[in-house]
Amino acid sequence: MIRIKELCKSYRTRRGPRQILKDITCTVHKGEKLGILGCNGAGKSTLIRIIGGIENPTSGSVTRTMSVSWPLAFQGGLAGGLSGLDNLRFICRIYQVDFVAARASVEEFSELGNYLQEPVKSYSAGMRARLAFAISMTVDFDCYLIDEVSAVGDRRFNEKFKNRLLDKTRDRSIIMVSHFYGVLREYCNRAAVLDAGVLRVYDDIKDAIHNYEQILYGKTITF
Amino acid sequence: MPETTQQTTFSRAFQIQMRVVSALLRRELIALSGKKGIGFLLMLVEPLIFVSAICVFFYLTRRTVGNVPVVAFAMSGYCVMWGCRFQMMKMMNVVAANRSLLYHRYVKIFDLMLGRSILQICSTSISFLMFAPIIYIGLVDFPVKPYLVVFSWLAVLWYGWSLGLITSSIYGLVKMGEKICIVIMVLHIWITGAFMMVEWLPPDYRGYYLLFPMVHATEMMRDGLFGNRVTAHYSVLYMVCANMVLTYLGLVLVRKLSQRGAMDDSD
Amino acid sequence: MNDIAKITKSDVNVPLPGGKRKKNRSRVSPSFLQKMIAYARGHKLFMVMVVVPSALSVLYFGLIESDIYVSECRFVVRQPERKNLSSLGSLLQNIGISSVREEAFTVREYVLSRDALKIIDENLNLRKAFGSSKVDIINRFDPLGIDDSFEALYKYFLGQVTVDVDLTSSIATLTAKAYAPNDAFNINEGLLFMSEGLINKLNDRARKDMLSIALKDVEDAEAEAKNRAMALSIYQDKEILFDPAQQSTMQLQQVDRLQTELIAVRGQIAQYREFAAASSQIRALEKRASELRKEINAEMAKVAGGSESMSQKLIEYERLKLDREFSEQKLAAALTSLEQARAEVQRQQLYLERIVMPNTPDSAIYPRRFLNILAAFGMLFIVYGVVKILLIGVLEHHE
Repeated sequence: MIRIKELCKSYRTRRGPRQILKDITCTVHKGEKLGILGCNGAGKSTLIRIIGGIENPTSGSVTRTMSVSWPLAFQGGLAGGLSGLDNLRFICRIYQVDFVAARASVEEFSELGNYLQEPVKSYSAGMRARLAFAISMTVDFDCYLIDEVSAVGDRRFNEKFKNRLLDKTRDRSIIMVSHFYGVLREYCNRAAVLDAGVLRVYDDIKDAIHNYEQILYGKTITF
Repeated sequence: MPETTQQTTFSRAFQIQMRVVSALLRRELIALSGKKGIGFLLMLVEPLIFVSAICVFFYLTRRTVGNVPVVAFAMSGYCVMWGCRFQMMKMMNVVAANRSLLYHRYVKIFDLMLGRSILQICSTSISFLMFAPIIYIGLVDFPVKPYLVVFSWLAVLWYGWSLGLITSSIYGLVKMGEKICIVIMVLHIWITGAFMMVEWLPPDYRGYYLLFPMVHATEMMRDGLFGNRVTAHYSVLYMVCANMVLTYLGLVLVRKLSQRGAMDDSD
Repeated sequence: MNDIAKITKSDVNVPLPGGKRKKNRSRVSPSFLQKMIAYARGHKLFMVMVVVPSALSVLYFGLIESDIYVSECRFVVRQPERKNLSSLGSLLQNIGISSVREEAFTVREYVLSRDALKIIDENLNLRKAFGSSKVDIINRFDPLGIDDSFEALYKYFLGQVTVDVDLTSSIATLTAKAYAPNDAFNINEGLLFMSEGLINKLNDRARKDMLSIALKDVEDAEAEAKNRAMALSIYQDKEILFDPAQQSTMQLQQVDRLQTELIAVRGQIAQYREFAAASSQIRALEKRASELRKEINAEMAKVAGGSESMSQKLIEYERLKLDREFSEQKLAAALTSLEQARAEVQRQQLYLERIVMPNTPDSAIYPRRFLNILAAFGMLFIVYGVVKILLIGVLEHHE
C-alpha cells in the first residue's frame, strides 16, 4: 500500500515559491494500477518522483508498505558513462539481485545484444527505455512507477513489455503517467487527473479521460 | 524523508548504506578504469607523477630549506596540499555527474560523495606512500615521529573530506558554485602551509596564519618528519575542533542539498 | 511517522532538540522532574552526547579545575656593540648598545632544558608543587602515581613554562604557570636567575677562549725573545766580541799601521843597501820587515778568511742579532693583539637585562572557566550535530 497524505510540493523560482502539488491525499493498494493524467507541467513527474522517494515533499508524507521501483523514465536510473551491463551490475548490487540470472533475463528481454557492452549514452531513447525496463523487470518490486516511457518502444517491444509487466504485476501495482488513453486503458484499472496541483481520482478511467479532456480544452492553461 | 511505516532498524539501514556505497565504489572504479583497469591506475599515478616531478626538480636543484632537505620539505607540503585539494577537486561535480543514479531511492547524495571520497582517499594515500621508496633510497631520513606523520595525514584527509562536502554542496546549491569552489581551491594552495613554515613568519602574524587548520596539519607532519630540526607550531586540539566544525558545516550543506533535491534542474 | 519527520527536520537545521513532542502528550500536570525524565528518554543521543558532557564540563571547569597562577617577567640580552650587523639591523641598531636575539634564543633553549629543570627541581621540589593533591586530578603531575620519572616531569614542565622571544624588539617573555602564587614566582625567579648565570658563564667562556690564545701567543713570543737575546750574548761572550764591526775596523787600522811601518823599514833597508851595503843593520832591518809581514798577514787573517776570522764571526753575529730583533717584534705584536683581545672581550660582553621583574600573582588568571565551558558547549553541539546528521543519513536508507 502506498498512502499519500496531505502532500505539498513547491519549488523555488525567481518569483518566489511556486506550489506544484497542493495537498494531495490518495492511497494505492497492492494490486491497484493507477494511471495519472495531466497536462504538461502539471507536476506528474514530480509526483512520481516523490512517490518513488527520490525527492522530498515540502510537507505531508508518503507511506510505503510495499517495495516501489525507481521511476522508470526517459532519463534517470542509468549512468550514461557506463555500459548497459555495468549499469545492471550496479543496480543488482543495490537491490541485491543475482547478477548472472539478471543478465540472462535482461539480454533476453531487451534484445540489445552487443549493445549491452556499449556506454548507455550512445543508446537511442528507445534502447534506453528497453534497457531500463529490462533491468527493472529483474528486480521484484511490488509497485512499478512508470513515467511515459511506454510510448518510446516500438510496437513489438511494447507488446512484449505489456505482456511481461501484466504477467508480472498481476497482483502488484503500477502507477503510470501517460498521455495515451489507450495505454492507460490497457494497463490501469483506475485513473487520476492532476490539475493545478490537485489530484482527483476516478474509479472509472472513462470519467478520468472525460474530465481530462474538459480540462485540456475547456480552459487556457497557465503555467 | 522518512515515509515508511516499516520502521527500518538502524543496522538494516546501515547495511543498505554500506551496500550502496560499495556498489558506488565499484561503479566509480569501472567508470574510471573503462575496461582494463587503466583508469584506476592513472588515478593512482596522477598525484604520484605530480609529487615525483616536484621531487626530481628539487632534487636536481639540490638545495636545503633551513637544515631540512628540500625534497622532504616539498614532498610533505605537496602531499598535504594535494591530500585536501584532490578531494575537493574530484568531489566537486560528483552530484552533477551521478545525478541519474539518484533515481534509485537507496542512493543518497551523501553516498555519492562518500564513494567518491573513499576512492580519492585511497589514491592520494597511495601517492603519499611515495615517501616510503624515497626514504628507502635515502633522500629523506626516516621520520622522527612516524605516528605524528600518520595522524597529520589522517587530519589532512579529514579536512579534505569536510571541504569536499562543502564544495560539492556549494557546487550544487549555488549558481556561482563552480566559481566559488575554484576560489576556495586556489586559496588552498596558500593556506595549507605547503610552502613555508610558521616559524619563518614574524611572531605577530603567526597567530593569523595558524587560524587555517591545514597549517596545523602541515606543521605536525613536519614535526613528525624532521623532529628537532624544525620548530613546528601547531595545536592538535585546534585542528580537531576546526575539522569538526567544517565537517558539521559540510554535512549541513549536504543535507540542505539533498533536501532541496538534486534533481531540480534535471528537467 | 510525522513525528519522525518533524524531529529529523528540526534536528537537521538546528542541532537543538525539538522538544514539542512530549509537551503534547503531557497528562495530568506531571512534575518538572517527570517532564525532564520524559524528555531525556525521548532524546537519548542528545542527553548522552551533549547534556551529560556539558554538565561534566561545567562541573570540571567551573568547580574542580584548580586555579592556575602565572608569573611573568621580561628580559633582553644586550651587548655593547656588535659586528656583522645586517644593513637593516645596523640601521635599526646602530646605537652603542644592541640587543642580541640569538642569545635570547640561547636563553630560551636553556630555560626549557632538562639542565635547568634539574636545578629548579632540586631547589623547589617541583614534584610536590605540581603533584600535590590540591591540584585537580587532570592537571596534576602524575595523578595516578605511575610515572614520576624525570622525563615525565620534564614533559610536564614544558607545559608550564614558556619563553617567547619577540623578533623585532628581541624582548623575551618568560612565563611560569603553577598552582600557587609563590610557586609560580619562585620558578620564574629561579629560571631568570639561572639565565643570568648562563649569560655570565657564556661571557667567562668567551673571555677565556679569546684571551687564552692571545696570552699564549704573548708567552711564546716572550720566551722566544728571551732565548734569542740569550743566544746572542752567549755568542758574544764566547767569541769575546762586543761589536764585531768596530773590532774589525780596529784590526784593519792595526794592519794599516803595520804596513806603514813595513814600508818605512823597507825604505831603510833600501837606503842601507845603497850606502852601507855591509852594514849589520840590514840584517836586523830585514828581520824586522819579515816580522812585520808576518804580523800583517796574521792580522789580515783575523779580519777576513779562515774560520776564526772576524768576518766569519760577523755573519753568525748578524744572524743572531736579526733573530733577536724578530722575536722582539713578535713579542710586541703579541702584546698588541692581547690588548685588542681584551678590548674585544669587553665589547662582546653580554648582559641579561631585566625589564620586568617576576611578579607574584595575587589572583589566578587561568583557567578561563567561562570560556572553557562555552567552548566545550560549542564543540559538543557540533559533534552532536555531526553524529546526528550522519545517523539521519544512514536512516534514510529505509526499505
